[in-house]
Amino acid sequence: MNEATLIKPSRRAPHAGPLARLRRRLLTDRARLGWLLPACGIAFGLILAGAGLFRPAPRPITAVPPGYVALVNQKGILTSDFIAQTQTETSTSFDQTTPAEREHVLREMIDEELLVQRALVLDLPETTTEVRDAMAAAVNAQVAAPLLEIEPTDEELRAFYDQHRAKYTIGGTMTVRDLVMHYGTYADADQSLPQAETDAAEAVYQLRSGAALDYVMEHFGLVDSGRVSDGEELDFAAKIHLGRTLYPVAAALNAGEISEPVVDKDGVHVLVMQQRQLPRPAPFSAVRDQVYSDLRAEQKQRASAQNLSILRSQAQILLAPGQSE
Amino acid sequence: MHGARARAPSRGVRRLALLLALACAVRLVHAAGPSVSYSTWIVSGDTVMLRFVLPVAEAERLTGAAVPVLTVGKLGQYVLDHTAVSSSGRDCPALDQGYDLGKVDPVRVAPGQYGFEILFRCDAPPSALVLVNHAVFDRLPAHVNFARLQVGSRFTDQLFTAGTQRLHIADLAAAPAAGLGGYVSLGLLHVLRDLSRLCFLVVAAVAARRPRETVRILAGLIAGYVLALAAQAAGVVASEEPLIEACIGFLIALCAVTTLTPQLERPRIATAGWPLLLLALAIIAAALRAPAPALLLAGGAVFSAGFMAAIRARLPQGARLPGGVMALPAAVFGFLDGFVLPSLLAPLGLPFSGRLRMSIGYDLGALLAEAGVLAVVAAALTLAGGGRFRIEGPLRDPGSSDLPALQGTLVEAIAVATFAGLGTFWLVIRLHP
Repeated sequence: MNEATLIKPSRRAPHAGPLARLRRRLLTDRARLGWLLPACGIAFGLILAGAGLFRPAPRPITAVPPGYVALVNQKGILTSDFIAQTQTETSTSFDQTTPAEREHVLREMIDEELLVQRALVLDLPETTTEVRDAMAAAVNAQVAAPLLEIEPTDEELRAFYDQHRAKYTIGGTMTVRDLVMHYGTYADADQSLPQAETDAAEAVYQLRSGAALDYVMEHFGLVDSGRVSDGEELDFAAKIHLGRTLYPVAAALNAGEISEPVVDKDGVHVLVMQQRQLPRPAPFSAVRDQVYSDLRAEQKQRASAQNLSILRSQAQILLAPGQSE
Repeated sequence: MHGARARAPSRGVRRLALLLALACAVRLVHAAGPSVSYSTWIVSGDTVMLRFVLPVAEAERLTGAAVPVLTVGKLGQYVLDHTAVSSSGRDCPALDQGYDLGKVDPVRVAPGQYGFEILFRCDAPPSALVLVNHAVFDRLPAHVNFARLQVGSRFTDQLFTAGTQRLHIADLAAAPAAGLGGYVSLGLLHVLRDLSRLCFLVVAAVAARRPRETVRILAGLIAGYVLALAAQAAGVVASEEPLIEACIGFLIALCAVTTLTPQLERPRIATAGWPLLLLALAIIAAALRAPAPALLLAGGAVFSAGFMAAIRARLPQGARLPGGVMALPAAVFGFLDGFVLPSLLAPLGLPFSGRLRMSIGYDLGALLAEAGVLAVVAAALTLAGGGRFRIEGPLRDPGSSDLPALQGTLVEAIAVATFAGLGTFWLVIRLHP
């Protein structure tokens, strides 16, 4: 047995990894640990504070991203919008348009984008009535769009017609004299409203008693208001001419009837119904288009009201003292 | 055993330190931020369109004197009254812009700012143009208006200051930009007029205590400014300018606490207490859902712990702070201060290349001011110390294995504690702008 075989082989330490080696070195080299840990603390602290203090600057977009046809002050114009606009302006499919036409449309769209951006800088939505109206209308149209996507069925239209049957009539006409007694104007300075009402009531009494219209007009100072024409008028025309206050009174009169005195802005009125043909209910088939329009209008109004209800529930609205809405 | 034999601080040094600290404290505490506004003058045909942007803070400073009640209309009128354009010696009047706007059109700008547009029309295409801007300078002489002149597609950067309220542009086609000297001057004044920056320089110089260390502080500052420029070139911007100012407060307090530490009988109070205080503030900020301040405070806590541990590890070798220690806070200070001008210029949206020249001038001015302040403080401390710049005290317990403690006096402790208090106050108050 030679010398080499007599030596007892030493137990070999298992292979240590880099982390274990580092740990051993740090533990054996306290001096190094003394500066390494504080240095790590300083570096980590700087990174942590830096994360709160700094951020990467937003990088300007220097190339037009896919799906866009141009960038105007970093704001994109969609390719789909460009295609749609080109087709609208040229009335042909996009593939058939010439490069010159496309350039023209693109230039227009860029100009429009510049103007819109300028409008926002000038704060036109806050300051210009027309812009505000257009914006409000656009929002209303947007909230109504989902409802308007669904075409109403005939049953729905008929149900709407049944609910609003009084609205759909044909053939109502009237021949009416609208007499007025003015008061308080330069020419009638001595005439007060109570006095005018008393005089008008007396005139109505005499007319109903059979007195001649011309005599009563002359005696009480009643004159034609000039609101209605001398001849026969359709109901809708009379409604426009007579106004909200007088028309309901006139509509309730039959031929030969005389109204009670009615106070309006220009004086005390007396209506004398000379001829009257009452409106007849219109059949559904005759007013189907109007029913359709009215239903659509009501849907829009309902959508707008719902939207406003949500907006109001989320808004903070303060009214000045003494104000109400 | 400690090799350094320390002397008691001279009475002069103590008094000087106290005076400096109290001077900072007396002006209290609220060092106002820089006063700036922005204007763009666009020359097109025979018109000059002025877009004037005034931060809300500046507008509020005008309220009560120049503008009795702060409304957009009155503010616009103030801007109109304080700006003018003339060409070849003849005034270019402001045009009525129609509707009910009058001569000043309020425009929408970034939140926290007021914007106005005024259109000046000259008799003929302008030549020998004179742009006049007196706005705010009568109230705040330190105010600066960063202006841009646009002729066609060419921009030049201009400066309106209290000393330069009229800009003469002889040749519009080759209008020169504001000189580098203007920005150097701004940088100088930025440091000299800012109480917190002066406090940092004073406390850092006091902490360093040796002229050689003052040079190292200056080197740290230079490194910080250079790093800031490099970071900006890489596309880094400051999230919020007030946080930078809060961080300056943190650095003042850190330097003061560091100065105080060797003088304490139980330095652990400072080395552990200060980071723990910051950590507590970070937790409060996180609870208040302020992530950026929370990160800043947590980072400050970890940084302070590491910084003080490094000092503590080296303190047994001597009774004074290790050499070069203050260079690190100085570098951080320089780095932060390097982001001040870019923050001020942010509303103009200039790219890095467009503001590089301004930044270099501004940082150079700031460095010159800082070097001057450090030199003055170092000289004053040396003189007050009778030619001995070191302030060292005898060891309290030479045989103790604990850290050495200098014999601090009440006066010195008050002076340094005042800086620590000011710094902490600024740190906290500026976290909530």
